[in-house]
Amino acid sequence: MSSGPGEQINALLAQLQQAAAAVELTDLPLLAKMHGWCEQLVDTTGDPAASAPAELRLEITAAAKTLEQLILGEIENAQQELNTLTTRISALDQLWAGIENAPAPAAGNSEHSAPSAAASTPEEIQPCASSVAVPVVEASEPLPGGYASEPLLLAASELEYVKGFVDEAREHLEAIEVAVLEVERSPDHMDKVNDLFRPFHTIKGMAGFLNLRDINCLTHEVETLLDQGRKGQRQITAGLIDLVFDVVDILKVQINEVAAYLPQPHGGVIAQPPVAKMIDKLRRVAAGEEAVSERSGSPPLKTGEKLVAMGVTAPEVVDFALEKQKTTTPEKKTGEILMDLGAATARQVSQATRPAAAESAPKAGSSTVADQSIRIDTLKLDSLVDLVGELVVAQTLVAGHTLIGSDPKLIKDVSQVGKIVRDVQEMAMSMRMIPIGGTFQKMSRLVRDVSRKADKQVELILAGEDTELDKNVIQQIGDPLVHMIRNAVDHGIEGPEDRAAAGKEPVGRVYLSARHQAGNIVIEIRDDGRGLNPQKLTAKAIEKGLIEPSQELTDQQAYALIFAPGFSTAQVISDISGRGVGMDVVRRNIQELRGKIEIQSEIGVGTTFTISLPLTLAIIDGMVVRAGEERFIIPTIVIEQALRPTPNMITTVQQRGQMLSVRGRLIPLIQLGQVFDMDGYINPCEAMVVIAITENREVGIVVNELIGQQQVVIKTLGEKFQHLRGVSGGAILGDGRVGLILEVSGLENVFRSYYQPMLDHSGATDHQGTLASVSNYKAVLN
Amino acid sequence: MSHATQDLVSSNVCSELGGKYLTFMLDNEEYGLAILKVREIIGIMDITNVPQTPDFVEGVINLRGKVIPVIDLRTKFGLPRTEYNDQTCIIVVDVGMLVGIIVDTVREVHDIPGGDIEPAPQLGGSINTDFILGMGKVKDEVKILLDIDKVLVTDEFVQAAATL
Repeated sequence: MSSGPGEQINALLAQLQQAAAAVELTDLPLLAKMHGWCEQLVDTTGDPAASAPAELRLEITAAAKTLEQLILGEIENAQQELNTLTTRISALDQLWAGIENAPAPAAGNSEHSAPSAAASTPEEIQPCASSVAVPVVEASEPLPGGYASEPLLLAASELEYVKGFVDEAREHLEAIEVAVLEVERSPDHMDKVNDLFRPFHTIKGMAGFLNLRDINCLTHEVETLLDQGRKGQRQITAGLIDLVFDVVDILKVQINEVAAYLPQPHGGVIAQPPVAKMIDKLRRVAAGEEAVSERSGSPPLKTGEKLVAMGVTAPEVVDFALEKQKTTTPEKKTGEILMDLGAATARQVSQATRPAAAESAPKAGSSTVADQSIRIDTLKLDSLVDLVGELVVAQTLVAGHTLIGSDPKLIKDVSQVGKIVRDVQEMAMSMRMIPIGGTFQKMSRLVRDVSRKADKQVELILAGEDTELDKNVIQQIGDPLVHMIRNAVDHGIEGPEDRAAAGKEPVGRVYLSARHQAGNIVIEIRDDGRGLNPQKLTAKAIEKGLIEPSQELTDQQAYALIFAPGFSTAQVISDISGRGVGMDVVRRNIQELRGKIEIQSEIGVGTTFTISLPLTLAIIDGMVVRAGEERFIIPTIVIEQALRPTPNMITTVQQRGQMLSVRGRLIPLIQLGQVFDMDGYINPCEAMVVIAITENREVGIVVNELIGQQQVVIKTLGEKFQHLRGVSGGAILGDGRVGLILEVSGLENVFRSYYQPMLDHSGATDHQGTLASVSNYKAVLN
Repeated sequence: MSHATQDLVSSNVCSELGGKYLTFMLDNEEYGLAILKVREIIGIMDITNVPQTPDFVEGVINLRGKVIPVIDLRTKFGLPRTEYNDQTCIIVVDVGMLVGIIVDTVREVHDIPGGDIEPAPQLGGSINTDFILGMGKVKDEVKILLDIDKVLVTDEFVQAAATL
């Protein structure tokens, strides 16, 4: 191709000015086109070969910005702004012409025949200059050779922007996924399509600015399709939505690649996954050369399809009605036309449309509103929380000072300070809290994909998306939720035939909700599927050798079997789930978050998983206890009870270990001194035993006294202590000293490694029955 | 080895070591610590024991809301332990993380030029000189300049037995 940047600039400027003369505020398509040209101009003028003046580029960049704001309706005084803009655009010509005419010393290249004086220097004609324009080539004119992906070059000075871009683009992609699902639910809502269009547009703009061509081009092509959609030139079909999802997936990979490149920028090339095929496909689709491949039996059926499915009318009739809708009465809904035709009654139509309305109704209320926020490094937040914690300790010290008691005014003032300090602490804590909605929304996409693969119709119903919890908890709960939602769709919900046979609605439902309860967050995953069958679970466990055939399990114990490693009841291992890894990981993850998971289930009705999590990882409710010289904190969540045993409750085993018998159960007693290699045997009968439960095993921890219950801020002991067993961290106590937080399952492990031989032998003593069942129980749940 | 060569070697090795050093006493020996590693000096305070740790790990303290490990340098160097008194100090050093080291007493800050620093002596096999950056000469005295990163980073603070 022989078109140099100079010629391109001329052509684009001419187009732009022509459009500027005619454009009106309401003519969004033209404004969008002008915006496209401006962006193209920014690209082209940025080419050193074009030797365009910097002022010109700045002017055009500003114009593009204004156009974008006009399109998005962000400007109040729009008409006036548009007038200024058109004047400025007409002045662009002189800026460019002035520079171009004056210096160009080269021989006049007259083979260019642009409307304005088109002198271009020889250097302008680059062998590959055409690539500059690639990202914004009109989609209706596919390039002869298709899109050619190019290696990417990032300047070191741009890295900071690129990092910002990656963060923002990821957010936009999340927004896009939400928007696509909404469009899928209500394809007729143009404002939803707009919601979808905008984030793509923003990504495109940013990518264009940073010269990320692949991303820029890909988003541009999607935009073209969506644009056709919102102008009514193209129906938003399920196939189109699939296509958009595909693009989102490619973009994610692309952006991840860019992100992966950032930590070690070698100033070189980012290898990007090929996008050429997708871009070419999008172009062909946009140009009407290729039809979007439609899937069959998609979950959100259109009214007509639903009526066909209900047996009310025939597909041909619906086709006819749709044709009629397109050609003569576009303002009427399919259902109305079918009623006009006498093909369906009003009642049938409303029946067919009702679920669709119900789906979109709760959505409308929770439409995402852009919230006002700033980004803060979490490290800064953490140290703020640390400092505020110190402030609380210092304030307590002051308040406890002996001098204060003598002055009533001082008492009042100090307690006032105390109140404020605690408010500040609460506020600092709350800054780490974010709503769980974002994580939930990702599940919508997951359910959509998994149900498609499993050939089921499943609807995900969300509740309590506004529930806030600690950012760290949210990050770590994502994976377990993915596992469980997958399981619910893949195993829980039956196939359409089974559902029909069971007299259920064909569409399965998975409910995902979050709520506060007694200082915890409760996340519930409920499905209306086939439920867990305790007999089957037990049979499977016996088959796998996880339990003895003679063992009798309660339903709860049988349900708990699904958490055993290597346990899977799926008859066929699908590529989605069923390999028997998963639920054990889920439980471990939840325990790491210091949470609990419970199962309720009824055969044929469904299963409910209830996860309860602490609000934050930073604070726990703990019982402060003293053992010897040291104070420890036992998390309240694991404590079952505390008691002072009488001598007859204690059984000594081989004079070495002690067991406590409480209500017929035998509980091993842990001496912290022994486990931690510190001094001091504590006689349990003169002290207290805290009974704690961990992974369904009970242990009794012998302590000198219970000091009291309090909320403590958890501090990590640092990487040097990460291998400590039985201690999960430290906490600063009221007097400013550090107390160690006990991790009971670790403690129990250390304890068992000391006493395992003893426990094994003791099976042969007088407690045989009970001990044997204890160790069996261990085998089940370990 | 001739005199000239030795001078050359020592100046080559140690000239970049010149700088400010905080010196402290440990069992009547004076040690130096590059001042850039030092975060702060605090008096001895209550230390919480941490189980499953080697002898030289005293435990953890609360440094204004941060929990940091504290090690006893005497024990670490195999010197006899003494009672802590009002001279005993914890020097908080930054070796990628904050660690407190307990020393008998803190002396002063010396500016030791590179030329006055000699390489670590090769002592008999029983004495580990890896921790030593060099020997700094201030007037007539010799200070042992410590490579505190090596002292603190090489060791696990948790005993191997506990990680079973």
